[in-house]
Formats: sequence, C-alpha cells, structure tokens
Amino acid sequence: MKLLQLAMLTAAATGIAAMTHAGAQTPTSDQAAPATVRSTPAYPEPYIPPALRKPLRDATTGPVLLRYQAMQKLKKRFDEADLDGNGVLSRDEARKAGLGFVDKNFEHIDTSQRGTVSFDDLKAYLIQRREEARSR
Amino acid sequence: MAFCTKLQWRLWTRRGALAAAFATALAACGGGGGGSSSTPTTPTTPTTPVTPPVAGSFADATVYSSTATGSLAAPNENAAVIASHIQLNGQQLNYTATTGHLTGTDVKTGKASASFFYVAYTVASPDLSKRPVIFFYNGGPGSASTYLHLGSFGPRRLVTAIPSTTIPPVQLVDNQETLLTVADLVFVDAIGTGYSQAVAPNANQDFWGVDRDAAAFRDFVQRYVAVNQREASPKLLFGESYGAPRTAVLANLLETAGVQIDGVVLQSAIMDYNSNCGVLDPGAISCEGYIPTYAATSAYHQRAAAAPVDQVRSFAAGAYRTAIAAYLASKVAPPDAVIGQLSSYTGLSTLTWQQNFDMGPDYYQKHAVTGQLLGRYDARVLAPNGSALTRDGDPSLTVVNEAFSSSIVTYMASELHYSAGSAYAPFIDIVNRWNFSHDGKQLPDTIPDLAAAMTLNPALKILAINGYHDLATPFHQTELDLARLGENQSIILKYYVSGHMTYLDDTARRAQQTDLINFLNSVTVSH
Repeated sequence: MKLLQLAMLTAAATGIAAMTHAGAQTPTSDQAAPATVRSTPAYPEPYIPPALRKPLRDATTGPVLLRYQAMQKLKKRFDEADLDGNGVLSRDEARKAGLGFVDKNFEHIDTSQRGTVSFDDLKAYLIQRREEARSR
Repeated sequence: MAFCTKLQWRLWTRRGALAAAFATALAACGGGGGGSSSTPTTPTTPTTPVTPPVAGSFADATVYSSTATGSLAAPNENAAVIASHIQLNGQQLNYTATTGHLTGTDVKTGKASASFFYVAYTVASPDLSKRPVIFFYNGGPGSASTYLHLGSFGPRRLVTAIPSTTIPPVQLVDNQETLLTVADLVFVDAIGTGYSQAVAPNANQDFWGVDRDAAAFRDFVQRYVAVNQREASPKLLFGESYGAPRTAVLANLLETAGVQIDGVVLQSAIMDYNSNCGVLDPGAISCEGYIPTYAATSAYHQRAAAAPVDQVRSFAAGAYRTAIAAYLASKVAPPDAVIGQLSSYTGLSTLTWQQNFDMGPDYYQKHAVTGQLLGRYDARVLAPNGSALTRDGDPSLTVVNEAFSSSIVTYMASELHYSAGSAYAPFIDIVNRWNFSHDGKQLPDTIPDLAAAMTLNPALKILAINGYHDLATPFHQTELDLARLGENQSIILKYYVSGHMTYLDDTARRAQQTDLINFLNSVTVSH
C-alpha cells in the first residue's frame, strides 16, 4: 500500500483538505452526525431502513382517484397562495407563491377578465387543455 | 475501496492532470475505507506534471462537505468551460463541457437553497427551441450521478464487459451512443453527493427527504434554465432508480412553478415504495412483480425453459395473485398447480416454492443457481459463493463500481479541467436518515405526482426503461405501478436484455439509444 501512503503524504504536503469530507464550516457537530462518504453504496439500493419496511395497506389508487389526488395537490398549493383567504388569486399572489403555472397562463385562466382566478377557473382551464391535447 | 489501481495511475500520468487536481485525486485514494483486493504496483517517484492551465479550466478552492450539517457560507456560480470534441463514425462532434455550480433559489422565499454541482454538455444550435435539454441524476438516495454520467449517454463512456465478470481495463471512450447529437445533457448531483451542498443557513440534512430534495432540484432546474436561456427548449428529466420517484415529484413541482416539462425518462423505476416487495419486510406484500424477472433470469441461466414474457405476466397477475393473496391473508396453502408452474418457470424445486411462496429477490439471488450468487442489479452476472466478486453482495455492482468511483475523479481533472478543494463524494451513507414520508404516507407513492404533472401538462410524455434481469426494480412491478394511470398513449415502456443500469450492456445501450432518440423526436414535435 505504498501508493496509498504516498497519496496521503502528497495531500498533507500540499495542504489540500481532501482526506476526509468533513465540512470546514461545522467540524464539531459533524462528528456527532457523520454521513460517510463511500466509493460503493452502503446498502443495496433502492433500500429503506428496517423500521420503515411496512407498506401501507390501503388499496393503491387507480385512474379516477388519481385524478382527484392530482387536483388536491394543486388545490393545496392554490389555498396556500391565497394569503387573504378570499378564495381567488390575483396574478401577484400566484407569482409570489411560486405558482408560476397560474402566473404564466393567467389570461387563459381568467376568461371573464376579472383580474383574479378561482380554483374552478383553474380546473376549467386544465380540462380545456386536456381536450386540446387529446384532439391533437 | 481499491481506489489506487495500477490502471488509474496510468490514466493520470497519461492524461497529465493539473497539479492541484492531481493531488486532490490522489488524496481521494485515502477515502472510502474497506479492504482493497487489487495490488497497486510500486510506482517510480511521481513527477508532478507541469502543465499550464488549459483555457477555460477552473480550480474552485471551495471545500465542499457531504456531512449532515454541511452548510455552505459562500457559494459561487463559476465553472470550467472547455471546448471539446469526440469522433462519431468518423465525424467530429464539437461540444462544450461546463463543470461547476449553480445556486438554486426558492422562488417563494427568495432564499438560496443549495449550491448544485453539475456537468453540462452542449452543442451550439441555431434554434434553441428545437434543441432539447435533458437533466440526468441517479438515485440512492445518496448517490452522485456518476453512473448515468460516465455509463449511459454522455459524450464519454466507461468501457464495461457486462454481463461478463471480466473487469476490463479502466478506459473512457468516445460514446457512439451519446445523446449529445440530438440534445444537450446536464448531469447534476443531489445535495451532499458529488460537490453539491446546501447553502447557509440550510444544512445538507434539511434536503434529505422526498419533498425537500425534489424542491431543491426544482430550484436548480429553474436556475439552469434562466442562466442558459433555455426557456424555449424542450425539457426532459431522466432519473434512475430512486431518481425516478424524484422525477415524478420534481416534474409536478416544475409544472406548478410554470416550467413546462415535455418528457420524463424513468430508468429502472421504483415509483411506489409500497409496492416493491424487495425493499419491504419479507412476507409483507406479494412479490408478484418479480415473478417475470425470475422466469427470464432462470431461462437465461438455462435453469428453466424460456417462457414468453406475456405468459408469465398473465400467470403472475392471475393464478399467482389469487393464491398469494390467500396465502398472505390467512396462510392458505397454495394450489399444487401454481407451485408446479413456479417451479417450471424458475427451475427451483416445488419444495423450495412451498417453503418460499412469497419469494423475495434476496432469496432468489442466492438460490437460483446452486453455488453462485446472482447479481442484484444485473442477475445475468454470476459469481461463485465466497469469491471476491461477492464482497458487496452484488457481483454486478462489484465488477463495475470501482471504475466509476475512480474515473469520475480523474475525468474531472484531466478532461473537464475542474477541481475543488475537497474530494468528490460518489456515494454518501444517508439512507437511514432520509425522510421517506410523502403525501401523508410513510413510504413514497409518486404515481399521484406523475398524475398531477400530467394534469398540468397533458402533452407530457413518459418513457419507462426496464431491464429484464433487474432484481432491484423489476420491470413487471413498474408496469403494475404505471398501469394505475390508465390507458395512455403518452406512456411508453421499453425493455432490454440487461439489468438495472440497462446501458452498461453494449447491445442494450445501442437499442436504448434508438428508443431514446425516437422518444426525443416525439417530444420535440409536440413541444
């Protein structure tokens, strides 16, 4: 293992802190919480820790429920963006919440040109897009 | 691991790395730990190459940390920008390799999330709206994107001999199957891996979970698109293994953020952790998803007569499903006919199947061929029990891994002309602290995320890549998971005689390149 020793000496001599991957910023707490750098995976991946190896027993969802779940994800983001709780989003509210999809397509969603959009407006727009994609 | 091989030494000296990068690469030999099975030759005293810096090279003095509390105070967005070329069928392909960092920023908070390390390969194009950009990442969680980067469709590729157990000399070649002819390619490392790190006040561990990880990747993609003015380009995500569920979550987050994703490639996917019996407690759920993989693999090893895949699928979803449900629910003994069929598909005895009716991949890997351990990633690869190639529990990993973990270091120094003040982290041991919870479930089911992305962009196209001999993410389970989305012309599944990293097999990689180019064409047309 002469080469390894040589490597270590070279690193020490050049002062390059590459021997360990410990962060220079937080050396003390790192020791308490190491995340070992490896050249091979620590576990056969994909892998989950033993305590988590219990699957959820509910039936997996099919197309209809999935469409509902998809809408719920969007609804959650919509409601989070609705800071004043008035049930509609202004373009500014959408942008600030990172809802770029609503911001980008605002004119198309706000068909009645009120300057705000409801979740129903958004849903109608998504259905319209789906129909357009189908007819292509 | 055995980092400092004779071959690696030759590679360094031949390529003449930069002095600093040379020392960094050498120092990396000390990392890893574990025993080395290869014997390095005693070299003559190395003379540090005195090479003037290559135009566009970048020596980043920053020390990057992979630790849980790693928190970067001063991120930079500098990069090595190198003009390069490869030979493809006698023709020269000129490209630019850009290696460095970009800082992802959460649009909602305006705060930096993480400094992402990436390598981008781009070709000058007159019309960027027709030139797709593909973002590649591996999985783990805890893997840098080394395998996809150096093994799949980048401009340079490591030679492998899969499914042979011969370990070929470490050699990077011009990749005749590169996708760079038709798309720009960005390989990006997850936070804590490679040289990617959280930006203060965030720490790496803040992003070690399904949702935060994907959100940070979203911030990176948005930053890359903005910096490189790729708003008009078709955009694709290409994730492997855990990278596939990351892709589903990420695609939805990007669509929600207003970044249109035109296509996703799910390479050897595990979309729903609740459905893959191989990662769960033995006997927790049905291993139906694995039966066709067992049959294909036993036929490959001539332990059973080859059966049409469709026939095995029908058996798995029919007689086996009924019997395994009764067995798991109330230990009802399986019918003889089902046991007999399993035995004839796999060559394992009826007694073995009676005792292991819900056979998981671990058992199959150890018992399918007497006296041999099968590869987990590629079950075509065999190694005698107790031999050196079984040391990682997966001979198909052991035959390739050392080359990948060492070559990425030398490649960055000698070809990308990039170095950092710390060692590159190919893998980090974080899976035990990963927050797998997602959408109120303890383990992620990301099919709803894919459905959500398809709701926001009904033109989104999905390509699932599968290896017939992958015992980690079996192809039939991916079929069952994706079938939940219903009949959809936009979902394409492709299969190869290969393993988890389908592209490591020369024949499979060629076929996959053709399929990917067809997929890219269909995506670009509807963009």
